[in-house]
Amino acid sequence: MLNYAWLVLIFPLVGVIINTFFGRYLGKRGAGILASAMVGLSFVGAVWMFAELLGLEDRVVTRPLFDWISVGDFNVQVKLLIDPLSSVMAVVVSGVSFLIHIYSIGYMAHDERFVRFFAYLNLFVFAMLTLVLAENLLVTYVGWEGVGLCSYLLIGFWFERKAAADAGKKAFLVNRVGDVGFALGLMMLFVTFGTLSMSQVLEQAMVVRLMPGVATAIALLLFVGAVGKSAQIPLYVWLPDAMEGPTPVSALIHAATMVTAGVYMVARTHMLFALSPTALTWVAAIGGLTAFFAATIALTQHDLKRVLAYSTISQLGYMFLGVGVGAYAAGIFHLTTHAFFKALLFLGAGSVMHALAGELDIRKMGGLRNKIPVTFWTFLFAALAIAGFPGLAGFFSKDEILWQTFANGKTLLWALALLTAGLTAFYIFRLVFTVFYGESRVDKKVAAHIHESPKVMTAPMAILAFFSVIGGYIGVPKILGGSNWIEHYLDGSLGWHAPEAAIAETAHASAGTEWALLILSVIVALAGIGLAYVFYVRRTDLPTRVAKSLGGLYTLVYNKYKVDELYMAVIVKPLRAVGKFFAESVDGPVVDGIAEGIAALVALIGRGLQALQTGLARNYALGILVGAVLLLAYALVR
Amino acid sequence: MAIDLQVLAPEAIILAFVLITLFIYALGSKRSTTLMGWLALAGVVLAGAASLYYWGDTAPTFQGMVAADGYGLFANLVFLLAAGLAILMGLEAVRRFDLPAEVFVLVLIATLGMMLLGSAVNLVAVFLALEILSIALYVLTASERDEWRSLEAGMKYFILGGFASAFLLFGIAMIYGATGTFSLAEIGAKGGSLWALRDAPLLAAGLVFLLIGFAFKVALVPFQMWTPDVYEGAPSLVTAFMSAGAKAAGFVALIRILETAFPYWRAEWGWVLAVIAVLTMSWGNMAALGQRSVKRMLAYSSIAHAGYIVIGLAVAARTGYASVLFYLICYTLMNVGAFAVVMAMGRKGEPNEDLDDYTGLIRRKPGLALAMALFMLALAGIPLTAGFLAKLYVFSAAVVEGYAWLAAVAIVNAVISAYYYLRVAARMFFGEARAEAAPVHVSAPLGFVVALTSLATVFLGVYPAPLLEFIQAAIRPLVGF
Repeated sequence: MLNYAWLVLIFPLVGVIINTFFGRYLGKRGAGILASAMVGLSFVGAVWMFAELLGLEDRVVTRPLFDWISVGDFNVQVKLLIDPLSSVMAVVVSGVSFLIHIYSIGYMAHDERFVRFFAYLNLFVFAMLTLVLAENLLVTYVGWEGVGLCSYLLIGFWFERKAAADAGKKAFLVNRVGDVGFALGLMMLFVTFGTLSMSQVLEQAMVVRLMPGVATAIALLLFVGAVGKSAQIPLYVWLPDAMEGPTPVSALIHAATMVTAGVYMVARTHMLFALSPTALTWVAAIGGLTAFFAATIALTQHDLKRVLAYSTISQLGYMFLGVGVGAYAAGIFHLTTHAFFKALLFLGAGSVMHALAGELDIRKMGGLRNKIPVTFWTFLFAALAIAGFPGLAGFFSKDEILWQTFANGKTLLWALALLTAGLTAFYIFRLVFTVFYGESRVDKKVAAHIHESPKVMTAPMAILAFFSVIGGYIGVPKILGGSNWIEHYLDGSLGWHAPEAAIAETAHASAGTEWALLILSVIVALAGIGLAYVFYVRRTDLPTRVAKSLGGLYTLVYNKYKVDELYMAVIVKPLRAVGKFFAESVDGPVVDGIAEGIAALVALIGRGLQALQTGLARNYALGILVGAVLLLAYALVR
Repeated sequence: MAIDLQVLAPEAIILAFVLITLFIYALGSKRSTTLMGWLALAGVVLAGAASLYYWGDTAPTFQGMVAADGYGLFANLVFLLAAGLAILMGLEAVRRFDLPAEVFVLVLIATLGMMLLGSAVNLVAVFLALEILSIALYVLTASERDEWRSLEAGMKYFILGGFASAFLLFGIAMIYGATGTFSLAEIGAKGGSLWALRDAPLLAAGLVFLLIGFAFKVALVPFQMWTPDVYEGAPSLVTAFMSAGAKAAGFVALIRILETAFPYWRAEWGWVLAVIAVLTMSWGNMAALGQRSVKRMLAYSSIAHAGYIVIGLAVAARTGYASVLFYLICYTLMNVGAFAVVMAMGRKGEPNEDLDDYTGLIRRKPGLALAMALFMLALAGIPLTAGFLAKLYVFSAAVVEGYAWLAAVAIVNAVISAYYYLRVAARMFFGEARAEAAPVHVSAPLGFVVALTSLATVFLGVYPAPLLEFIQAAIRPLVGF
């Protein structure tokens, strides 16, 4: 299969082509099934690849596909890199995508642009897998921009709604800021190492002695790209707005896969980060801060999907915290489990919307537990998983990050992350209790039509629920009697450290400490859940009273710290003013003047040439004669 | 000397199909026209297969007249590609524009001329092949008999072509006078010592006249004046065929002649060609800017592209020649595609070539408009199309061989050209179609041409590697490594 790894990429692309050109002949059902089947085949291929890799001794395999660009010394080979990291990622991406494709058949059934939706989704999967499997960073970049494009198209999928179109634009523009950083990072990488091939960079990173600032600059520029794509401070503002897209898109692109590309990229280029402790500290700090900051906003929002969006930002912060303390495997582990439970949370939200005719305000829900039981139970499992309930997926992965942070000596960040874990448990169970428990606050008209979603939607949810429960067992830590399989497996890709061991050696904390921290985080998680129970089931008057007593602080958090307004005032408006100035007083008279002058000159010459084009054969013959005389003259005097 | 017919198998096949189609034409009725078209296409496909089959045979044959080496066989494929596409367009044109069935025969004859030109290693053979090609093209140009533009174009082309042929023949005579031979290899051997003495005015004048003859064929400034009138007047399928196939034949032969017979030419003539390249592309691009007729714009664009191709010739060297061959294939695809769209827009007596006729095409014929936009992007040299890589390879060959200034001028030119190419695309996408706009009909063969050329344009723009390797192998017999 490894020789046919390209098939994994090709299937979704075939889906795009067929659905784009012939989709309208297939009908809705046909187009949906085709798109899902293509991603399904991709998934089978990815699993096969993964299985085959397990059986190998040397688990880093490259398969050249073709030379893309070859100009002088600049050579870009399109090559697949199949190693533990990319194989895990490919399985997660294609697997979750497959389930969400199937879910979408039900969810989008009444949309008139159904076929286009699936073509976009397939294109997304193709771009994402390109990003994941690329050996050359330039090819990664192609995939990176490709997923960005699909994200833009799908956020604005219902572009008739101004909010959706604006959100698409916002996502695109904010990502541009990050992408500039990424592009600059790639250029600097190329200038420094003379190559963008991952394996060659790795080889050279081992021997080349860089000026200290260079590694930091490259790593930080790449990280700017990751910050944009993975919605971290300060570029996270696009992700909450991205919820304007269809819910399966939020689940797939804006929770499970694309937004994790930044984490993946940092892990992929970890050799560069390993060379620069400064850069790593930045990654960890930004990750930890984002995790906490976004979790506080999630506490106060009333829009079901926005709470989940802020939760995604917060969880991505955890992943960056993990990779930032050098625990790349822990970051990827959390990425994997998060893909399961967060995708499920979104699909659950979609199912709730489906039942309530598109309602998103949790204040108009309540008591849905018995009316849509499958949605309730799957949502509950996902909530338990993200809250870090012992034994479920999120528990193992989040705890691994917390432990590694602590062991790395970053006590302050660890405390912040622990606090965030409590907030996470609280806000997610705030959702569970307000949506599914208590009195129904649903509109009378809507209440009459509440119904469980069709099987085509609930089946994928059930499967994701299963993985949200057991997904953590690939990484059970030693003290709980596990072997932390995922970490050892990923070691094949991520086990590389800087020659002089730039990272401080993991402090050797005792097993006793690890146990203590473990129990502490369980207590925090349970406390969060319990508090949510008290607030939203027992004493439903408490939330308003607490909010009142907090006064201004609550309003500030409720208004998302007014960051959007801040950006508007500090960045957008001044830029617009500058732009206006240049447009009116520089571009118009000066630049346009020059450009139009040149254009006019060229057009004038063109008219002159046309005047020579008389249409008379004798004049043309004269031209030949003039040319002949000139050439002959040169031949004789040369 | 033994005559090895096998070496000429592709040419023989084409000749056989010329006779077959002519025979059917003599016997046939109106209905046999389509049959002739399909037979001609079969001949082209068979000849292509034969060219691939004999790949790698190098010995000159027919008393040293032609060599079916890799270079010549590769060139065959370019010509046959252009011919095949033209015949497919012809299947529609005979019905829509009431062209006579002879166009198929004439396209085959012209193709035969191109193929011989590509493999000729003797100046006599070069001249004969060029005349076979040219005379067929004169007639093809005038083949829309009830359209005065076509007749006028044919007449002009014939007169000026005759003038240019005279130069060519005179040049050949002078070269023979200086060296006593027609064989390219022997001219190369003898001429070298003459040249070194700086005492060969006859040879130098011969080379100049030879260059003029070819410069006319491939439309280089100042020998390009005929091009816009002829290209605009000729039926679209003929224009596509001429601008792609005939131009390719001229370049292929010119490279072989210069490289074999005048290997020392580059030192003194490289920069002359560079100047001609600059003049040609600038002239083509600037004159194209003001055109309202899409077809005439494409005619000027074809001059500009000849200018880019000459860059590869001027820098000579292996990379330069390889880039020329690559350019020729890419240009054939995107250019024939564009002319196929032009043809699809037209109807008998109503060419619909004005920019206004393309306005809002996206809403009337989305597929056609998208394909045309792709061809425009490719011709402008936008990345991910074949046109981009074609330009990139030519320009980078120039930079590598020390002609960076030439590449810079060419890039400025490419920027200028983007204006008039993208204007067509902009018109198609933004703007409302006129209410009285004629309905556009795309038949199966024409649709096939558009689809094939657009797919190939994208494919080569993304994955050129196999073709490049093929080309590297093809020029090996010519440059010897």
